[in-house]
Amino acid sequence: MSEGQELVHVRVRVNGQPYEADVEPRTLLIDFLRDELGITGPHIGCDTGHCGACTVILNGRSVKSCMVLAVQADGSEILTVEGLEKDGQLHPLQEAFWENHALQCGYCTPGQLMSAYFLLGRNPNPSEDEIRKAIEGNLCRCTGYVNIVKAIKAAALKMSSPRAG
Amino acid sequence: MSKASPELISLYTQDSAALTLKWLGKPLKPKEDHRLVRGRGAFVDDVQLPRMAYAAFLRSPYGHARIKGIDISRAKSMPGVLLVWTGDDIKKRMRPLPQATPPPARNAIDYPLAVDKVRFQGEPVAMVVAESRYLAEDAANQIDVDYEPLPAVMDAEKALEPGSPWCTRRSDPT
Repeated sequence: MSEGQELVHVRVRVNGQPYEADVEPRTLLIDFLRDELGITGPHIGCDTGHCGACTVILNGRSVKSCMVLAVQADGSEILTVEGLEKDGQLHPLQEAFWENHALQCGYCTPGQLMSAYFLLGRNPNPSEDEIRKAIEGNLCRCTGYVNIVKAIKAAALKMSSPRAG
Repeated sequence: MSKASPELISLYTQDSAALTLKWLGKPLKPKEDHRLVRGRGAFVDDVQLPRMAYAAFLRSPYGHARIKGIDISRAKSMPGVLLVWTGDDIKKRMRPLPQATPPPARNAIDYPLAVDKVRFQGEPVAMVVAESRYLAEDAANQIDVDYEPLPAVMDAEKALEPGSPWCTRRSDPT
């Protein structure tokens, strides 16, 4: 912490768990999650809002957490990739990404998953165009978009036919 | 994905009763994906070690410029700053980076931090090591570099034209 910086108390719920910490006002949400709270699923790819590796769900909306200050997230509910799994069961999106080889190095994957999660929450049956539009803010340097789109489609199908999986 | 041929399958089933076709002829789910889809990849940036320090680089805003002077005094005295290096510090400690290209390109003298001049926009000019990344970047922003801008070439073909400015230092004057 540098001198002369007044610390601000921030309280959030991440994946259902309450957290609080004192941070510098300039602390980015992604740094707060990763460095203060040790939640390292969301990654930093560019720090400039381009790559989407840091995407999380903030109060129900997908955000790039390098574009949000931790103090702006005070009092909010955050979902990260770590929160997708329920009782040791992978979320259908996680299953589908695995099943369809929608990742290679895995660095962009947490962001892709959260963008896809946000999409399916609003549009349970998206077209290929809608899927591509939804992940346009998530860059994959392994360039595996075809399989990512396939995986999101597969997950949508599975989630819209309950008890099928 | 290629399938195992019937001959291969019969070979395996005849020769080894114990060997089933568990892995051949079918797509396999990558093992590592299980942790990667759960955000448990443990990439380098995810690793926290005791007494870890962070480096930040000050980079050139010019495509080509002479470095007339670098003032690191303010950066060096900032809290949490452990080290500030410029091209001179690097030059004292190492030989130029080996060049893999054939000559004459191999004759270029290149260091990890700019020595005497910068040759592309974004070339690292100084490195700050500090106790946190925020502090390292703060200190990098407090370094003053006195540049004398030189003509830069933006086009590969123009670089070949006679009289085009040289941008790399050369170890021999051929």
